[in-house]
Amino acid sequence: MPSGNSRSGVVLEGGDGSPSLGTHVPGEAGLWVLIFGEMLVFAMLFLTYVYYRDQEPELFRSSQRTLHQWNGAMLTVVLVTGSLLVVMAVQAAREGLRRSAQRKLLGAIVCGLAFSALKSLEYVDKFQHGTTPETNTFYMLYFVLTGLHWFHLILGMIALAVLYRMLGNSRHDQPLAFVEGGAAYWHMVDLVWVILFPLLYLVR
Amino acid sequence: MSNAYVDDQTFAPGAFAGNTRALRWLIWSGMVCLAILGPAMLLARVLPLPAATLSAEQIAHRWVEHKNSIRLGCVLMMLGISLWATYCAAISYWIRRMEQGVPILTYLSLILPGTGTVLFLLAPFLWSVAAFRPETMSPDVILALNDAACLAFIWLVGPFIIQFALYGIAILQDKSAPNIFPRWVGYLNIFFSIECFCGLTTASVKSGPLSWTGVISFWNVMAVFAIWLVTMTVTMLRALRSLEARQRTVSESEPVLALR
Repeated sequence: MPSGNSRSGVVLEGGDGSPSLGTHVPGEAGLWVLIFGEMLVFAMLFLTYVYYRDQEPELFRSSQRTLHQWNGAMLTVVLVTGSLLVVMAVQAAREGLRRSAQRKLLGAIVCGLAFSALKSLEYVDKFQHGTTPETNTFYMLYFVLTGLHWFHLILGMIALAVLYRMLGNSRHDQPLAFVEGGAAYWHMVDLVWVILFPLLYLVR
Repeated sequence: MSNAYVDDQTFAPGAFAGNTRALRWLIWSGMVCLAILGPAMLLARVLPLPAATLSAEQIAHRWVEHKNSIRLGCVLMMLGISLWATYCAAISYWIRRMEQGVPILTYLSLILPGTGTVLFLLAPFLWSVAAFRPETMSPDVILALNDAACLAFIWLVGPFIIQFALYGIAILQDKSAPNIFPRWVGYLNIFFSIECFCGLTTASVKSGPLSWTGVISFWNVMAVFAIWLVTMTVTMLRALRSLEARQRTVSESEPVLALR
């Protein structure tokens, strides 16, 4: 393909257009479209919860009492530990310590799995007591909000698993932006829980 | 290298000029789809969707009262929705240009809009059935048809979730320089893919933000859809302009190629 080379030469003239901002954007700028978009949707869901609670304050108070605060607290501890490990993984990746970063990512994934196990137990407990999304508005919101958060957590674990593989592949010479991006997504999921936990379990 | 086949087709001089014109039309068909859909839904009295809290009699009354404008609105909706297929074909063209190796994302991008169009068409179809003989039809049947139409419109999101996710993956995997789409558009697609899950609550909630008249499950999803459509249209038109500019450069600098 002799003509192919000169053609791609034309293509490359466009330049890479990489931004040279004075500040550092974790991951890449475009990723924040996703992260802020997600946070916006969760913010709307939280307002939804407040809206419904205003309609039936008594029902919400009595239903909230059936949630196990200690289980919620444990879930929070597990998630915050996961976030700490992700922070340490980013730090290790910045210093070029790929193995160490991998180990910490694995730890964070284990935290995610532990969260999933605890969450499943909570759901099973609810179902065994005959509590379903149909029970009342509070439980509908409880299952929608925690279910949606759990779904995002699973996406976050997939992202961390991809990063783990990427760090193991030495041909991938620039994984730092990806590590930061995946970490930022994970922290977003964590942040959502940190608001969700008091809202559902604590605020009366 | 793996894009050589596409380039050979695209850069064949005669075919190229015609092709971009067709492609430009297809890119604009998305905006046409939106421009038809909005007024058509207003005409059919389904924007906002009929509230799930309305009784069978209230729904039946609406269908009897407005049956002619509902019929006309449904015809326009059907025609407008069909443009979803033409618009997605334009996106598939760019996916084919971006994708290297086995063109599996391209294949998916061709299948899914076909499914999506059919699912979308169910809504005006069912509303049309309800408007066929609303005077003699039992109000309960009209209610059921309207429920089915509303759920078809907002709850049947599966293929769309995969479709927007694959668009996101294709854009983020793009190795051409400069990128055909800005990378944030890739993330926007992934966001829209996740956003589609908001439609799922409409099958079990009848009022409030999570119902099919709600702020989150309806207006939020529709707003993101409009933002997505405008973004994709603008970026595709921009990519097309730079493609045409490159084509001109190539045909001037390489007359042999241009003659082939």
